[in-house]
Formats: sequence, C-alpha cells, structure tokens
Amino acid sequence: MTPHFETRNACRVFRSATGDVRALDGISLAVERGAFLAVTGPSGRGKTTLLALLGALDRPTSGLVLFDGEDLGGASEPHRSRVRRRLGIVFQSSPMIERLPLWENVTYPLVPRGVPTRERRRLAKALLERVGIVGRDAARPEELSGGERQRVGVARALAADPEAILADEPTSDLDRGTAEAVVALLREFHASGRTVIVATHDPVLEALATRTLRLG
Amino acid sequence: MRKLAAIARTGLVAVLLHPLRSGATLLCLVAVLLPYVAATGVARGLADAADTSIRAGADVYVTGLRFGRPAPVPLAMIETVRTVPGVRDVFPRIVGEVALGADRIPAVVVGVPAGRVPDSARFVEGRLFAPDAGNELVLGAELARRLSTGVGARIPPFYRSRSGERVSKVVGVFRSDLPLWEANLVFCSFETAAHIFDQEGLATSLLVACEPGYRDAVVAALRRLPPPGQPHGGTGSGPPAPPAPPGLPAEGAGLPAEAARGAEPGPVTPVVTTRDDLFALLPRGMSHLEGIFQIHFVLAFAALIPLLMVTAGLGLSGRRREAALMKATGWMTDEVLLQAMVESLVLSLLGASTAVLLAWGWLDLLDGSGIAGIFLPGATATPGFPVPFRLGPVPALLGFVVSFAIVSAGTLYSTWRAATAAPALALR
Repeated sequence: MTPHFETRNACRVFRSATGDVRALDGISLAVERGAFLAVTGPSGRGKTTLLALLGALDRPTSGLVLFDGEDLGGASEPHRSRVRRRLGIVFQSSPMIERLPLWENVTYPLVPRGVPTRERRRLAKALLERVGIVGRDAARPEELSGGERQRVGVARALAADPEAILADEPTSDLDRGTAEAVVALLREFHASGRTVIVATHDPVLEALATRTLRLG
Repeated sequence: MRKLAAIARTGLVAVLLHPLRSGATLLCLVAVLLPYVAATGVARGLADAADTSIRAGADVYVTGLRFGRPAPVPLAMIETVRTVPGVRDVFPRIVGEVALGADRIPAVVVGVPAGRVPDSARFVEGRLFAPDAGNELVLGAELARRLSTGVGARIPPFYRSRSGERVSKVVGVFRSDLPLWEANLVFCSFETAAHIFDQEGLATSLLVACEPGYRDAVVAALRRLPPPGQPHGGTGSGPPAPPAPPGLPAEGAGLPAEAARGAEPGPVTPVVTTRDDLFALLPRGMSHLEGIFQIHFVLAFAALIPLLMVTAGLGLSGRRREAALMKATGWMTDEVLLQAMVESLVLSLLGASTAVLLAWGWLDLLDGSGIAGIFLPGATATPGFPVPFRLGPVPALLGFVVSFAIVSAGTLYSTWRAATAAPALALR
C-alpha cells in the first residue's frame, strides 16, 4: 500500500552568508494513511523543516518527498497548491492576516473554494468554540495572546476538513487546560481515520502518537 | 463564479486592511489624475461654449485682407452683400482690443448696431446701451471686478480719436453666470466702437444671415465679388459706395478731408467664412491647447510613475507574508494574483472617482483657479467667473485605465514574487 507521506533520503540545505546550513540530512520515512506520527528531538534538528517538506511548503535540496506516491519536490506549483488544499497545517509562529477578523482568518482557506460567507462565518464560530475561543470571532489577531493565536491556528487547520494535519508545536504556548483541548481535537481527528504528524516536545502528544520519529 | 466573487471580496477587504498603503496610493493617484481630468474638462467646456457661440452666430462672415493680413472691411460692402440673392440680413460688427485702467487690463470691445444685440447678451445688471447715446458701455463681470467699477460709474477716456475723446459711462454689467466670452468684454454700440478705434466707415466683419437653403449660393456669390472700393472715397475697383445704412454714420463723416486722404488705403480683398468653416477650425484650436497641456502632463506623469509603483508596493514584507500564508493554506498563485488585482482595481476606481469629484469641485466651486489660465489667455489665476467645463466619461475612463495599469504593475509584481516563493521561506 502506498504510504500517505514518504521521504527518501531527503535533504534540505539553506544557504546563508556564513555558509550552508544542513537543516535536514538524508531523512527517509514512510507514514501510512491514518497514522499519528510524533516528530521529536532537540531544537534546530529539522522538525519544522521536515514538516515544511511534507506539507509542500518547501522543496528538498536533494532526495524525494512523496505524497500519495507523487513526488512533491518536482511537482508544479499548481499541483503543490492542490496538495496543500488537502492538508491542514498548524504553524509554530501562528501567522495570521493582521486586522482581519478571526472568523475570516480561520476560514481563509475556504475562500478559493467559493464557500459562502455566511457558511464560513458559521463554521469559524463552531471551530473557534472547539478550541476554547468563545464569542470572539470578530476580534482581530492583534488582540490575541500567543496561546490564543496558537488555538486559532489549529482551528484554521481544521477548517477545510483536511485528510491530514501537520502541526508544528501545537501545544507549546498553551496552558495545560487549553493544551488538553487541542490534544483532544487532534485525537478526535486521528480517530476519524486521518493522518496526524506533529513536531513536538509535549510528552502528552508523544504518548498519543502511534509512532515517534526522533531527529538528532 | 461564486469562487471568483469570494476572492474578489477579499480583494475589496484588503483595501481596508492596509490603510497606509491604500491611502498613499490613492493620494498619488489623485495628485496625478486631478490636473488631467480638470484640464480636459476645461478644454471640453471651452469647446462647447465656442460651439454654442458659433451656432448662435451668423451663417456667413465677411472679413477683409490687405497685404495678406486681416483688415477691416468698408461699410460700403453692406449694400453690395445685401443685393446678393438669398441674403436675408447683413450688419457690421467691430471687434477689437483695448487696455483699461492703470493696470492696462486687456479687454475686447465688441460693437454692434443697437438693434442687433444677440439674445444671449441681454442678461445684464443695469441696462444695455441706448441706440442714440454715445460711449455707453456694458462690461463683463470679470472686467468690472478687476476695474472695481459698476453700473453708473464713469470711465475716463482710454483711447485716442481724431474726433475727440469722451468719458464713457458703464450702463450695465453682464451677469456672472453668462459664458466666459463676456468676462473681459466691453459691449457697446457700433458707433461707439468705431469712435473708440477711430475707424469710422469700417467694420472688422460683416455678419450675414441667409435664407434657408441659400447659404452655399450666397457664399459662392460673395466669393465672386470684386474687392470693394476705398472706404472713404469710393473710387476703387469695387461697386460705388451706397449711402450708409440707417443708424450708421455716412462713410468718412466727421473726418477731416486731409486726414481721410492721408489714410486712404487700397482695396480690401473680401474673405468669406461660413459657420462650417468655424466649426472645422474649432477642434484644431482646442487640440493645440490641449496638446500643450498634455505634453507637460505626460512628463509630470512619467516622473510620478516610479513613486506610484513604490507606493503601490508599500508594506512589501506584509504582502509577502500574507501571500505566503494564503499559498500555505491552499490558495493557487493565480487566486492570490486575482485578489491583488481586485485590490488594484478598487484603488484605481476610487482614485479616478475621487479625482473626478475633486475636479468638479475645483472647476465649479473654485472656478478652475490655477488651471483655467492655461486655456484662457488673459484669465487671472483666480478667474472670478464661471469657467465652462464638461467632465466627460472619456478622460475619467482613461484616467482609471492608466491608474489601474500602474497600480497593478506595482502590486502584481510584488505579489507574484511572494506567491511563487516557497511559503515556508516567506513565513520564517
């Protein structure tokens, strides 16, 4: 059976003024559909870079990154965009479009799919409630704390009903109670038979994973 | 379609999301478009006013040439012209320039026989000049303002005449909402104008009205006329001088014989100009002024293009992050570009609309202060009279298209660069 995600000897080298930085060095892995993979390891060992490659956010310098058996590294940009539409990505820095209301931010991935505004607003409200942000769907990102931004990021990743979630430290900025809510969401998502890949230092998430990949 | 509408809506929202970028771009657009829209509005308004004047004027104008240059025509020609089949009416007119007041303000003197005042010139504060009274003047509103004078005021002699200078009386002032042609005008009887210019027995033009359908025949007949005789002697090659028409002085009347002999010129070659000829000349004159303005405008515009492009690309790092985030969440590059294009479209539309609105205020409420003088020689920086203008759709549309092209160039390039980069790199 074709793995959902696969890397074969994938390398990613960043060029800088001080010399090349080898962020990922010959990683090979296969993640089956419906798996829960926790990527762990000290900071700076390439967890975020690996997630970026798997999420078609970046291309490997060498080696292969496959999604459903298709090479993402050599794929065209429209094809990579179509792959990203099937994924929900939680970013560590929780980037958002500033000054745009939370409900718009959460459902921004649905805009190119032509989902009506009223439907988007209803969905965003429900997702925000699920991550513990109640009655603030019209608030602006600037008004949120780091933890709240993180939760909005999780809600956005879930908005398009993706077939896999790639989450980069989804509980790092959260208090225990909120972190548990996010963990519960990921567990629920995984329980529906979909793939979860998280880069984390959180032992709770590690314990939840069906498989752990330790980098470094 | 729903998808396009949804993306377009986000483009509209993006205008409000970036007030600094949108505001700066709008400001640049308005700075560029406003003079263009206002100037083309004045040019078109003047063309309309000229068109109206030509329509209200005579069917045919007879003027004179001497040494190949414009010369007055003798009044003797009036009777000759009147005998041409198809001519319904003919009367003389004097149009000349004088300088008034201590500041030597230029003014155009127009003299017509008392019974021939056009309807459009009847709207005056005070009254029109009386048929038999000498040196009664009706002034244009702008001229009266600049001379600080009004109805009932007297103007000391401002000309030299062999028959003696007289004090003139202002009996009327044109209402200021009349066409600007009357703004720097001194309107008076034909006799007064002849006296002011010391040109008895001459007119600058004869105005001919034709019977319906006879105009071409009249023109052909007038062009076959031999040059008229000398204005004061009647010994030239033209027909003998008839008695002066009623209400007009006899030729040479009041002139010392020696002076008349000394001023005796050769025959004048008649020049016949039809209303159609004037219509044909009108666009050429307006295009010349418009062309001069547009050359200057294009140079200024070219200098502003880089500024506008920089302004449109303001907040480049923010735009880069937004585009990367959109790409990371599944937007296609063309969808990101479409959003940016809608944003540019809205800004251009706003810029063009604001420019048209401000141009209207500038021309209507401020009388085109600062720009009317480009098209109206003699007008001051603050004309003080309603400058005719027409804000047509073509300049507004052209302004919008040019704005859109420039704003798009500034926006789309930076967005395309951001949208084609790896999202992970842009979001780091």
